[in-house]
Amino acid sequence: MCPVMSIARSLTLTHSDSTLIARCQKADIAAFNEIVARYKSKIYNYLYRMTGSAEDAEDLTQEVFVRMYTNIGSFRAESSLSTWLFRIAGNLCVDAFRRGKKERGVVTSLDAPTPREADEEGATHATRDVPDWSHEPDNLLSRKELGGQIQAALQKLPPKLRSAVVLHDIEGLAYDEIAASEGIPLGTVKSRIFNARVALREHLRPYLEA
Amino acid sequence: MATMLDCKKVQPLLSEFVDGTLPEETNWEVKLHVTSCAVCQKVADDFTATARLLGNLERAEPSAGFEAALAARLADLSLKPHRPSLRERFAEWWQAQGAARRPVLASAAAIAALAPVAVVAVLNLPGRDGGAEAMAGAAAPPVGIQTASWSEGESLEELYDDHAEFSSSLLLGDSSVVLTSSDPRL
Repeated sequence: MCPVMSIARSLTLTHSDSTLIARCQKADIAAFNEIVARYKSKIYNYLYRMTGSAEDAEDLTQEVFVRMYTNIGSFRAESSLSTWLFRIAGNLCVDAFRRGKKERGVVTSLDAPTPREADEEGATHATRDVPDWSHEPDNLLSRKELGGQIQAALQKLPPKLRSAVVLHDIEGLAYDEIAASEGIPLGTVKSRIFNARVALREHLRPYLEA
Repeated sequence: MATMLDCKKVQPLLSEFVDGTLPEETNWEVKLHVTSCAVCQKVADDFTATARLLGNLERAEPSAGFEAALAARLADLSLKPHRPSLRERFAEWWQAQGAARRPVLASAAAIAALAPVAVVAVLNLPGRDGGAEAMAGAAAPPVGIQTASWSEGESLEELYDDHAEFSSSLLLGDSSVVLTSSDPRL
């Protein structure tokens, strides 16, 4: 099959969210699987950035789709599917943070020894993931190391600011979509993103100037 | 001519400025300030760099066994079909009627809704004998209410007296006596 035909065929086979929702509401499991395939990465990435833990993000992402599965009958077309899923994910995060079990990045002090270091007698200094920038200003970090620093900076933000900036700068949601997803006024979204960027600017200063 | 904004007013707008979401006029004013203020220019550049760092983060992906684990969790559950509300069912039915029938149905519904009002209005019209006759079966004289009558040989004065006595016992606005009076002159 020629590439043009292939693209055309894939376009015609791509169903809109509203079509998939309507099919789900008629108990079409294939439509549900298509929604999972379409959104699992976005929801997982959001939850990973929120919790800082791959394991917790995986659990919570599954829970998002379980909630969707069991509540699809009550979904109204007033909001988009994306907004609805991010709202479920955000609410699950809030619940998890309230329980105090999921937000590992916040409860783990960067000054505390790593588990392996703690086993070694006399180990008290962190060598885990924050290099000393003042001593190695020209150190070129790998992409993965830089990602670790950004994640650590995100974890220092209050969850509300973190959620807003992750949804906007990482997941690419517009201000009004975040307002709908979080259930907050547009002005609150703007101020949260502003405050998050002010804080991140401080935490990530060495990278910004690089 | 627009006055130039100061840093205190500009800085809270810088996040929106770098996102390109400010209204055109405000965007122009902020841009004017930023081009001449090194401090605000630096903040704007830092916000841009911060957003770029986040946007370029490597995306985390769920594990290869995600779908299988999800399927296991959903094994005992079922997709619950949507139960349309009365409003949704009416909207669906209304759409199914087609553009030609909808005005007719709307008119019929309006008439049906106004019919009871019209009936009550006709019954309450003073001096409408036609209405009284039409509703004769339903509008029998109320029990216990006296009605004035006129017969040959009765003087006009007596009739006035009777009428005055009878009228004083009426409730304001009750026209049933008039509608059921045996004498059209009353």
